[in-house]
Amino acid sequence: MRAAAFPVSIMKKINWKNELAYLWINYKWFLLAGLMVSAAVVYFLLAALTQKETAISVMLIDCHAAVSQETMDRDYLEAAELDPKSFQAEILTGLMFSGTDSGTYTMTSLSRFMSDIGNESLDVAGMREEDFLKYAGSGTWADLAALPGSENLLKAPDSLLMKDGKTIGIYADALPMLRHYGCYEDPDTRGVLGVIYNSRRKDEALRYLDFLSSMPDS
Amino acid sequence: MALGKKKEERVKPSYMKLTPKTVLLYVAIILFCVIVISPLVIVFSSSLRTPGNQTSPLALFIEFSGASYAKAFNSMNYPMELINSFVTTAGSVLCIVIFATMAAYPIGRIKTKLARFLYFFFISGLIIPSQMVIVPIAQTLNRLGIPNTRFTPMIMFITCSLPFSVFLFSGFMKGLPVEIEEAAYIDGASLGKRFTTVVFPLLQPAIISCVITQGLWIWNDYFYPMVFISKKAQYSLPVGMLQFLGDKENPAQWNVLFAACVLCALPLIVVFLALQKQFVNGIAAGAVKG
Repeated sequence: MRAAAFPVSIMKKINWKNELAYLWINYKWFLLAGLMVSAAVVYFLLAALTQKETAISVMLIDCHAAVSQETMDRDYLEAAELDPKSFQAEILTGLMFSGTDSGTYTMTSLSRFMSDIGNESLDVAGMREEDFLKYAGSGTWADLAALPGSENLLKAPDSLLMKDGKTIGIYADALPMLRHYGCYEDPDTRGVLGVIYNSRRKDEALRYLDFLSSMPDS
Repeated sequence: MALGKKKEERVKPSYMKLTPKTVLLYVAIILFCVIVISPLVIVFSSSLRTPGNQTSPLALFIEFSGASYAKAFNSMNYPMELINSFVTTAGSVLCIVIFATMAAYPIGRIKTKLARFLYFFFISGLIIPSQMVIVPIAQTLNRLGIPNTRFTPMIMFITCSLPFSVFLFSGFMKGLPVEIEEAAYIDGASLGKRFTTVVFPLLQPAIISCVITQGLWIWNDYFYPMVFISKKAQYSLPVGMLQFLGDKENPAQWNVLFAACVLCALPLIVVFLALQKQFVNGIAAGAVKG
């Protein structure tokens, strides 16, 4: 109908407030849903743009550390002289393969381990010796002796785990910093750490193992 | 009462008559209720003990202390994890309802081979559990550049819920009368208008079923948050509770774990109490329609 058919008094009432009220009454759920979707998209975009660079990605499985992950992250970044505002260290200590009665938790930990290897985002992993040797069969561990810059770690042969002529791991009890964190203290088994075969940051992985083999300050 | 007239005999309903069959039935029901409720009572009773109290959990309500709740609340960083869980669950459920209803609408209404193919395409997602394909999924998300944030699991929750939700809504859609939509079409309503003002409100019972089933699963799930989240500050409530699980070196702190369970379930209980009328009405309406 033509606007002229309406009385002037009514036309004066069609202002932006009334239009907003109309939109809210008829389309509020669409507006809210659109707002939420937009907020999620903006959040992901901002998170992607402001994401810190990962300096090192480590999984210490079944380690039962006495300190928090944040403490271990901070200690490494300080030792490596990396700016915490630009870099982050991802050191996971809560995963368990054995030593828990929850099969679901074990399966979830294994899924996390496998997906990070598949993503080529995992650099160093530590676990109990029996689990470590299980994964050695599928070529999970890089040969430490073949990595440039690993001479420091190879000085004490007793602390190394060898398999098929390759140095695949280093025992946790030979790493003073790891003992300082309270990791792998179970007397029935030894913990072993190794570099993942497809790690993109092998030099950083070796630097982390060097850090763990250093003496703690306190 | 007039003289000479007998009092009318009140006929008892059959379920109130105490026959041996009825007594056995009541005993079975009570036994079933005890079996179902007793773990909850044990959890609540144990959560009211101090963390160091190692007495048998079957000794109910021997201590009343909030120490376990305080320890769970502080260790878990409860407020942050509650926000993470709430936003993840609410956002996922909202997206699931919107996407699944919009997908189920043409599947339920259009009688072509394409619609049939799409129906089975969605249903096929139920066959393979997502845990089996988590490695390629993680690789795909990584290569798409999607960062690992506290809300990255939402993507997995939405995609993994769509098969069941589409199945639920398309089945319900087929039971809705077409005449209402035809009347709206005759009145000049567009496709979007017909969907939002006619079809969507009629799907309320199915929406409530979807919200309850998927919302509960998403709230309690810790698989995807554990796979995609690394920072403790981004954990959801179920992942935060896992720190109280123990092993032979550090035994589980059961009282604190039970207190964490109660804290984790509390928001759901509050939501249900607040919305129970809508839930019951929705389920009842669905029952009548069926």
